[in-house]
Parts: sequence; structure tokens; C-alpha cells
Amino acid sequence: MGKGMKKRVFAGQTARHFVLILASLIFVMPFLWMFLSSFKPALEIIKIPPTFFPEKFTLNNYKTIFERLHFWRYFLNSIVVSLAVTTVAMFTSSLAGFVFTKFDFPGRELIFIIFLAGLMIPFAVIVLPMYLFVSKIGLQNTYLGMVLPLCVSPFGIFLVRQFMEGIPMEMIEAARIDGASNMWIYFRIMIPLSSAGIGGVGVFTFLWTWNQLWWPLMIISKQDMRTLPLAIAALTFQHAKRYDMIVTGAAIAIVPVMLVFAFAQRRLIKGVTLTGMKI
Amino acid sequence: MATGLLIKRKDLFPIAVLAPIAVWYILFMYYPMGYSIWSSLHLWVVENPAKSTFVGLKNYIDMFTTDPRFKKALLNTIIYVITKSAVVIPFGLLLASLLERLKRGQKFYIFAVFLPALCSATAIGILFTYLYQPRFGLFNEILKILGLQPQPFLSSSKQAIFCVIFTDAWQYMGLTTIIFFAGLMNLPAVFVEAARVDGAGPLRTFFQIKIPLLGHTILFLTVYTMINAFQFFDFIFVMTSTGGGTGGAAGGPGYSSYILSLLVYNEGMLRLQIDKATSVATIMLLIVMALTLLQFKLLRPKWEY
Repeated sequence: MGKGMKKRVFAGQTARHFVLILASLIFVMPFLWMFLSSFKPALEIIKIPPTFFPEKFTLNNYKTIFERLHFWRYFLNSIVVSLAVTTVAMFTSSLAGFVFTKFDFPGRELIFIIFLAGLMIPFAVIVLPMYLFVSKIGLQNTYLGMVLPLCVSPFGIFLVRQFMEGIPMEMIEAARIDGASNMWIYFRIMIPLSSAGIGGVGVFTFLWTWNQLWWPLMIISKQDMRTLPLAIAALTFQHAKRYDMIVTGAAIAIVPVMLVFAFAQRRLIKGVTLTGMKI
Repeated sequence: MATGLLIKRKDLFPIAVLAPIAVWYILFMYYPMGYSIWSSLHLWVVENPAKSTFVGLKNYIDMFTTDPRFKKALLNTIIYVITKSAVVIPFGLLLASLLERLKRGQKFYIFAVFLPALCSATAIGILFTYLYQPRFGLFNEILKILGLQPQPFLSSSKQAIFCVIFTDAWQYMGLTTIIFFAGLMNLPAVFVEAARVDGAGPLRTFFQIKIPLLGHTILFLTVYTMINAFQFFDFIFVMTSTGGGTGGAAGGPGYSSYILSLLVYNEGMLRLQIDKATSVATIMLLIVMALTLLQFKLLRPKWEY
């Protein structure tokens, strides 16, 4: 590489960094503003003009939101619901993937297409009848009522099937000749050999459920049963908005995601680009 | 056993696995979907839905001819879908191509750009209501620093819907960026190298080699984004109850920021007009089905390798 060339490459890199830093600011600034504001006392938050760094640093907002507004309870509800949905979705996706790839039975393709077609149905289409149905069977304000309608993932079934298609049929047949049962094959061959796919379904189902707003909004009216998104959305329902609580609530919902992302960035990005999975 | 009903022993396992999943599909997908279509064709009776009378397409006709909220919601939804796609696709591609040739710092920039995409729309939405706050919000502060007029943002019936779209696009941009980034990294180096040897500059290489090679990804992601934008609910719901002192209901000020998904919720849950709400939902179903079929068609060439 000549000297001029090197200079041009250097200039190009600097220009790129310059534009990207500006772009990153657009994405980072709202978060920064949120964290700084969550440490300001209520009066400083509504001060005109606003301050950037807290003049009086306080942890009171977090204390109030956890103790007086019971956010620990909503946090717990979100964890219970997300874990339950994720577990069931991982099992149903992997079992269905196993059956669709390693068994031959009449109607296999048709059933798969009917399952996959679930991706085409907007939530808006099913939400009202589902609300009428789930409240009719008495599951309003229950974990079960929140989990049941969310716990099978059409995309998860599709994705795990893709992963399991690559597992050679000979392995399954060899295991069968040795007298292995279907469940043994499922746990000892299918799951280990498609763990990347199933793990991907797990991570994304968890995040997807964790972020759910519409269904809990329909089925939960009791304060104690609120999930985190529902609880922070409820902060904006009030006529006189408490921005100190709003900004702290947002911070509480965002911090865990930020931590997970910081530790698992490579795998998460790989999962998204590999699968095109929506969150 | 009679031959017609013969269940082979080897079919028992698939049946045991698929039957519960099929029951779930019926209860939580296809029955609700059917109910939606059914009630959209009836005059729905709140006290006893079974007594509803069949009215044919009346709900649909009423919607298109007399309901100003529906017209507004439809228009806003179209604006939402087009504006969001027009922002996230080109800018995602731009960010990705800046990132592509970077020697250092890729990981940091990707973290910054993609973080919003992982957060809940609810959290992002309420955070932005604070940033949009006309008197002490961040955005008006920035406008003031730049010497521009402060804006009413969410409390203006003209601006509210665009404020929501901007927030959505801001969150969604990370997804398009990393998908384009992966696409660019996977382009066969031969073509790019050949263009360089032939003396094409970076801009020409980008527009005449890379964009055509990425054509399939761009098309697919555009349709995917449109489907997603068409039915999204969370942002509009948490961000628009601010406006105009409408109190509880979202979609404000007035009904200026109604979109179809919110119309379904407000008609169904606040006004208990299940028949009207499900007519809107059925129209959404038809449009999303068409877009999804288009998406599957676009995906097909990849499967044929």
C-alpha cells in the first residue's frame, strides 16, 4: 500500500467514526437522559429549563417505585409469566420439530402449514374473542390466563424444524434398532443436536413475553397481577403525570435488558441475523 | 379394527405430540379468528352474543361511509407503514455500510444502535413521552439550543402520530442495521473485488454492485417491516393518551392519532362494540395475509438452492 493510499484509508475511517458517533448519540442520548433523570428529585424533573446532571442526587425515586408502588411484585409477575411461556414454547417447538422431521404420517405437510399460517394472523384479530373466551372460563387475573394464549410459538416450531431437518435419519434409525424409545431419542439426540435453535427460541420467546403489553392489558385488572410493562404503562394513564415515576419505571424495565445484552451481545446478534426472528 | 379408522402404532407418538398443540391452535388462534369474522357480519348483542342478528356487510359499509374514526385510523396506518419503512430501510442500510468497512469499534456502535430494539416498546414509549414533554422535555431543549421554535409534539393533533412513528423507527432501526450489516458481510468478495479492479469507486461499488446483490434482503425486510408496522399497538397506546386532555383513552388529541390496531381496542374494550371492532380486525387480517403471502413468495428463491 502506498503512502497516499494509507492516508486515504485513514481519512475514510475517521469520517466513518465521525458519522457513527453522531448516530450513536441519537440512540444513546435518550437512555442517558433517562438514567440521569431517574436520580433527580421530583421537583428538579419538572424544572424549567431542565438540568442535565442531577443537582441533588437521590435514590428516592427507586425507593418509592419499589416500595410504595409495589414494583417488586410486578417484576416477579413478569418473571413468572415469561419463564412459564418460554419453557412451554421451547418444549412444544422442539417436540413438534421432532415429529415434523423424523416421522412420516398422513397429513404431515398440511398440519405444518396450518401451524405456520398462525404467523399470518394479527393479534388484533384474535384479541377480543380470546378475551371473551378466557374471561368466560374464569382465567381473568390469573397467571394461567396470561400464559396459555402465548405459550405456543408458530415461528418457534418453524425455526426448530429447520434446525432438526439437518439431523440424519440414520441416527434415529440406529437408535431405534438399539431399542431406544421416542422420548429417549428426543432428549438424547434431537435436543442436543439442535440446542442452538432451541436456545434461540428460548431467548427470543423470553424477551418477547417480557415485553408483552396488549394481552396482559386485556386480561389483568387487579393491580397485584400486573406485569412490568402493564405497570409502567399504567403510570401514563393518570391525568396528572408523575414524570419522576415514569422515567424511573422506564429505567427499571430497561436495565435488565441492557445487562443481558452487554453479556450476550455476540450470541444475540448472531441469533437475530441467522433467524431474522422478531422480538 | 376397521381399516378406515386404523391408527398405526408408530403414529401414536406424533398424535400424542400434535394433538395438544392442535387444540391450542383451535382455541387460541383459529376459533378466535373465526369468531372475529362471524361477529363482524352480525349485530352483536352484548348480553347474549348467541342472539346476534346477521347483518351481512353492514358493519363494513358503515365503517367506510360514516365512521370518521375509521377513515382517520386507516389513513394514519398507511402513513405509519410508509413513513416507518421509508426511514428504517435506507438509514439502516446507510449505518450498516458505514459499519461494514470499519476496522475498530464495530461492537460498540452495534451495541448502541441495537439496544433500543431489545427494550420493550412500552418502556421506550413512556420514556419518549417524557422526552417529548413540551415544557421540560429533552427535545424542546435541543430545539432551543439550535435556536428553533419549541414544538407541542404529542399534544398537537398534527404532530402526535409522527412523534409516535419517529419513536418506533428509532427503536426499530437497530434491527434493519444489523440484518443489512450481516448481508453486507456475506456478499461474495469476488464481485466487490472485480469492481475495484475495474476502477469503480466505493460509491459506485455500493450502488451498482452491493445494492443489487442485497436486493432480495432489502425487499424482504421492507415487507417484513410493513407487516410489523401495520399491526403495532404498544407505542400508540402508551404515548397518545397524553394529548389534549382526553383523559383515559389513547389515540389523542381527539382521535387524531388513531391507527387500526388502536381502533380495534378502543371500539371493543371501551365502547363494547365488538361487531365494529372485529370488522376493523378482519380488514387487518386480509391485508396482513396478503403481505405475508408476498413475504413467503419473496423467501422462496432462497429455499430453492
